[in-house]
Amino acid sequence: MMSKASEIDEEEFQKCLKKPIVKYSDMPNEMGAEAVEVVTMALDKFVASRDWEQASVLIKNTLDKKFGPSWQCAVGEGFGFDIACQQKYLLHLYYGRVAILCYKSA
Amino acid sequence: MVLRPSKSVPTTKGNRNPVVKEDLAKPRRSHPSSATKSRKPSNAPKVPRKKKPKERPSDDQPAFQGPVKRIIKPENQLELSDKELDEDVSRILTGDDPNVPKNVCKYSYKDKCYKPDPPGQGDNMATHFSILGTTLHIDSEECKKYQDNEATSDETTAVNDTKVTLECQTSTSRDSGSAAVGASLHIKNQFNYSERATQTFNNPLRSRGVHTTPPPITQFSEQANQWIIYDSYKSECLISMMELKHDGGSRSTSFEDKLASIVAGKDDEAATERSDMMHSESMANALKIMGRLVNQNAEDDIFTDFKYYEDPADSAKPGHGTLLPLWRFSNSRTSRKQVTSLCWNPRYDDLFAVGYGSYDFTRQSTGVVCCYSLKNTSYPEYAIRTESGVMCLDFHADHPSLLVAGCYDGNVSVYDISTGSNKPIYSSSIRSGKHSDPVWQVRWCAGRSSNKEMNLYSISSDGKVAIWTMSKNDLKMEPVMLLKHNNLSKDDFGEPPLTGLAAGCSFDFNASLESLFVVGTEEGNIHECSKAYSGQYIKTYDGHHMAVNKVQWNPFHADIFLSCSADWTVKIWDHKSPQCLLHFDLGNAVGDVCWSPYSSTVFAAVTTDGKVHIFDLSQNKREPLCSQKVVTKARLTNVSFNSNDYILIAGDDRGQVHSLKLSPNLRQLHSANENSEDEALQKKRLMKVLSTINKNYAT
Repeated sequence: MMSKASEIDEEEFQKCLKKPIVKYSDMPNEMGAEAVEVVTMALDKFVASRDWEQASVLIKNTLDKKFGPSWQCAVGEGFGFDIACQQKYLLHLYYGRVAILCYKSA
Repeated sequence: MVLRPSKSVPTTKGNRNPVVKEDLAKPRRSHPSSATKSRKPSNAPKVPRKKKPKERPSDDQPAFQGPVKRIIKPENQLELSDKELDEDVSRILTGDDPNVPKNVCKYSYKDKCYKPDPPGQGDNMATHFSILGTTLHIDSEECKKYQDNEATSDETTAVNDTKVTLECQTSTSRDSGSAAVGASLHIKNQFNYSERATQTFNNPLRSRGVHTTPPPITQFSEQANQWIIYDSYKSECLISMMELKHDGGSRSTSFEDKLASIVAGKDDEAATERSDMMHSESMANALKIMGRLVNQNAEDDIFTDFKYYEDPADSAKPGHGTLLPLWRFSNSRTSRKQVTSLCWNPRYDDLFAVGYGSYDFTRQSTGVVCCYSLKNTSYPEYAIRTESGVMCLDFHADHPSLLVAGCYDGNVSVYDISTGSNKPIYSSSIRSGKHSDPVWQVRWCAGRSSNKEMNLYSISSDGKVAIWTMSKNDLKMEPVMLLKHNNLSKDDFGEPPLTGLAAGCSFDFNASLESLFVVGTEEGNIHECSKAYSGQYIKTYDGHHMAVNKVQWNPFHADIFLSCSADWTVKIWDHKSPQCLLHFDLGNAVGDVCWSPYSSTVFAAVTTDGKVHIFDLSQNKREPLCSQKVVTKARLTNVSFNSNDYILIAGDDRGQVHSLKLSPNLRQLHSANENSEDEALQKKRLMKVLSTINKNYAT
């Protein structure tokens, strides 16, 4: 693993950090793409201040508007969770140095 | 005008202006001498009491006496005696104005002199007061007009007021007459109404609820921290770098692609997991056995019939037989195609191949070869798709998995059905040679040639009988026979000689003389040919008038062969004689004919009206033992006997294959020991039958 890691040059890694990694999503394709867009937009806005709370509020409100109410959103540099949520409304992704969890539950 | 005061009107001097405290006019009018009478107060109340019901009737007591009338006289009233009072004083009131001069003279220009001008009509009138009124007289024209207008126009409050005034006028001016007019006016009294209300029953409140199914819920748990995020980015980075190397940077980073890759990855894993169990060879075998078991359970009665049913009617009717329909083989893939060929496998008695294509030149499409087994009657064991319609099939006798198929486009392909693949192991091509017209029959060569290569023969409408050699890599074609027109016979009819080659329809090789074969052609001739002489016919039988659909040698007797044609006939020939031995007219175009494998005298024929005819020459030389309609609307195209069981299969032009069981009368073997009846005996029997016919022909 170490040998492999050494192959990665720093520049490439920084480029990768600018892209979201969708760890898990059970949303339909179009909706998922839109949700990822919402998340990245919100985080880009607050990445300078590192105000993840504001970012999560923004994400939650935007998703509520777009896909109907009762979204939950968690943004953080490290957290664990065990949730029950509505099917087809779950998105877990990494973006930059934070992990984001969005799901809908009634 | 003279006003005469009547007695009733009290215009006397004494009480000219009696001021009455109680303003009762009527009693005074009814009693003209009320002035005197009213002085006696005890009498007075009686009168008004009668006239006025408003007064209480029970007051005889003085305390409740009616109002006392006192007459107030002005001080300067003259005191007159009774005599003076009774004296009539007449006064005359004239309309003449005494002030109007009566002696007015005016100069008349007409008579040219002064003339007295007597006072005229208007001169005596003096207007003291004039006012424009809003009231109308009830009898006047204007009032009628006004009332008519009123009836038509909407009632308004303003109008209502005038009505009220009208009403007032009528009531004062007229007593009886106005009542009718007033009633017709119908004026609403806005104070005369009563308030009404009802309390209705209040419905009891009921609460209702519906439970919907809650949205589906998933459980999801994970951990995220900096290490995990870092690692995942690192792996992502590695992947992207590798892809950069592979694709040269042409990687799409859309979400859909990522999702697809995630899903695909999962599917791949699942597939590899499954491939061990579900897609293994043993699983396929197990499923196959299971399928057969299910089939046998589902069609238990048919299987019982197939094995044990014997038609009891046969013993009562010798010389007649029946066919019992068993399974019907059909498939969704072949429903719009026609059955063009049937072929039993020589080794496995239950397996047969069906070729699907189309006889219709305008409706050619792809072809299918299906191999059905009697063990699984609902689905073919093997199914091979071909580009062109399959027209003929043949199994190799020694290699039962080798199947040759002739196609409508002139190609010949060899399949190995045991591999289960759709691709032929050998196929003809333009380079190696092919027929230019549909291949109507293919037949494997019985033995092998000198260099141990397998050979097969084919016949096509392009007029060639060809031998195909399976070499290591390809299928080589070599023409054996060119079917020339036999013009000599045609010239007899005065027809112009036909050019080109005769279109071959069917052929069959003789069992004992390997080089000898007969060819049936499209114009009806049957030619006997030999492989040794490629250009010439040994003999030509001028038998049919239309295309010869099938020729077949008798499996027991090497000299006898059978032919059938679209001219409705089936004929039996001895290859030594140019005339046919027997011919049967079946009343419809005969699609196929087939000798039975168990008796030298039995054969079956199918016709386009959907009938299967079974003949046994030893029992009846003229009539079929059985002519049974198998399909109602379709045309039967092919027939084939099973070599082991007493069943035959018939294919129709709707893509269905019908299997039929022969009743006992149709399979009599005429021998005490049925199984050991050998070929010689069979041959002898056929000879015996045919010799009687020959005699008939002679006589």
